[in-house]
Amino acid sequence: MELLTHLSVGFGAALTVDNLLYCLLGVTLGTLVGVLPGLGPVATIAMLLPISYGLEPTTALILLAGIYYGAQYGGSTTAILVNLPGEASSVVTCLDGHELAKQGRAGSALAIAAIGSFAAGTFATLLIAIAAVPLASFALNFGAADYFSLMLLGLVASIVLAQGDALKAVAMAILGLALGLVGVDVNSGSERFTFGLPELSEGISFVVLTMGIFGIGEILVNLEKNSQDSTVIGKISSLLPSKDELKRSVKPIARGSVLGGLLGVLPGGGALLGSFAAYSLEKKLSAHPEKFGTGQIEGVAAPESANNAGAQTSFIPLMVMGLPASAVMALMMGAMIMHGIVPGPQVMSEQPELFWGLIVSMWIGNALLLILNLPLVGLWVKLLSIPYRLLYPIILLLCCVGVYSINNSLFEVLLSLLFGVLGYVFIKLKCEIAPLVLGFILGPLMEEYLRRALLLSEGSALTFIERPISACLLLATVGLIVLMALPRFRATRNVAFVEE
Amino acid sequence: MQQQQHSSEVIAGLVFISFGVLFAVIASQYQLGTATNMGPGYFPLLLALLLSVVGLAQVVSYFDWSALKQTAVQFPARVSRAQLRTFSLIIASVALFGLFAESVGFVIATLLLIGISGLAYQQAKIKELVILAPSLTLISVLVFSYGLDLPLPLLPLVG
Repeated sequence: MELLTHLSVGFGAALTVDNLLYCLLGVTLGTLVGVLPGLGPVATIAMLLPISYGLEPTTALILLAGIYYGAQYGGSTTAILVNLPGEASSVVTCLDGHELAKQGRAGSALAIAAIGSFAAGTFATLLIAIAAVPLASFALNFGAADYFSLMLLGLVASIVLAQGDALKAVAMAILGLALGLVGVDVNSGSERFTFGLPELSEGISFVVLTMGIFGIGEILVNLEKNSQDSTVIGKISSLLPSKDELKRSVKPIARGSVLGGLLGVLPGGGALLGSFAAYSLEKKLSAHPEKFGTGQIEGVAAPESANNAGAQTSFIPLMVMGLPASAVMALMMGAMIMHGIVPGPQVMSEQPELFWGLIVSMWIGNALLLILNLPLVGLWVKLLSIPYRLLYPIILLLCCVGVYSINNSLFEVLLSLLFGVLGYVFIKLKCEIAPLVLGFILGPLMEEYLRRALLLSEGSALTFIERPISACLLLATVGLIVLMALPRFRATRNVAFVEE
Repeated sequence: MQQQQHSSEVIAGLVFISFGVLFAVIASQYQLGTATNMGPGYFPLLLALLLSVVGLAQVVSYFDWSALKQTAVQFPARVSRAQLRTFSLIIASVALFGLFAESVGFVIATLLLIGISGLAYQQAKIKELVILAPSLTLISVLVFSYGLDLPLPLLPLVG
């Protein structure tokens, strides 16, 4: 069976000493970063990009990928213990996870989260392995109009899932698209929005934007709150979940894995979308929905499985189609390009060890995380007791050094400061950042595909409806918008998302 | 509380309109081309106009004259001096790094960054910072300059 051949190639690549070591390093670093508030996988991967240049391409990708899904593990640890989601996708885990911790069942919650994540990771790895080849051949049918519609769907999805006001999220997405266009226009060679500054002719570096908004911006917001450095940590009694809890978690883990795995493939999805959806699903299916939020283990099992599955399957659009579906994927794409690999359907056939090696190492990474994390919880708890007032200068330093090291440019450090202020403004005005970031990544791509689509169709906008793939995607987009407008959905959305 | 919510909605809308207008003005100076043959200005102008429209919709749906007067009166009171100080110190610390790290060297720039940003914390303990700043600087020099080959000069250029 072809699948076995692929997997054996993958294991062959992933089980080298180098790759195993870097996988371990990646997941540990990822967990650390996931545990610490204010520092996320995006910033970390961005900082490690220049360093990964010296590594073999496969090794570099294994390291960086490990950081991403490792951060999901770390994020759930803080969500449960401290009610602080280390990662956006762990927000939902706070709801029931921390309640369980307060009831002295932190150990169970952590264990279920880890087991669920591992199960989901296994499922996702299999899903990728099975679906990759057919998806790749399907992807070859995609034309410019189809790519455009796919990206539009992703943008709309990120808006629909944004907390708070949809109208503002739309504006943020458009703003993101516009910011992505800064620099030289590939088609005409003319500079756009560069204000005559040569440093801007290559466009705004993605890392500058994200470090500025998420690094500096968050610090500005957090310091304003002036909260005292007290972190309430639930006590950890035993690390073993009860039989009943295990039994109750089986179906949520399964459902969460499938839901998260499928939703992770959508542009704009990734880990976040799946975890929210899984939580809402469990609540709907539960015999006691009103108990959710008081410490239901299903409310931990499902989202934790979903976010891990989603984190892994979000690699699919990048690896199979060359389309970065999220901020992290954009960075991974940058890493691949840095190593001379052009992402797209041909990677699978031309570089099988890279592709399958990466996929297999994700499973290995999940196993490592399961084994390591539970004993290491004590260490993470110690780490969390570092007061924020000592932590944030470190984060600022990491931001400055990180941004500088991309292009040896202090200008970019200043630019990221500007984005930090902008990020602060947006967070205070309750505007969602996610659509902005996604728009930023997709901006130049969407313009390119729009241009090409219209060129090929000789100016006819009907091409978007005439092509079957594009038509389906646009239909899904319209469906999402209609869903947004329905009052019942809006009520659920507000309950599920605006739960702070 | 409700007024607070609405005023931030209106401000958000105004921010979007400003960006939209700014981008539109700049974009309209580029070649627009046609739909079939899009020039550099086409997509940006389209986006800028869309942004302005959305911003306008935002403002219109939340605008409230009576709330406006109340907010204008409340505004100066809502920003405390301490918050302003915190904000400015963080900005200053990063700005100093960004402006001078190459000329004063990594060591001094890092010391300033940690020191000044550390002071931004409202309950900052100076004694802590006196220990934190140099030790962090030392660790950074070891990790970044020696370990990772960061190309920033360590000390100020002489002469």
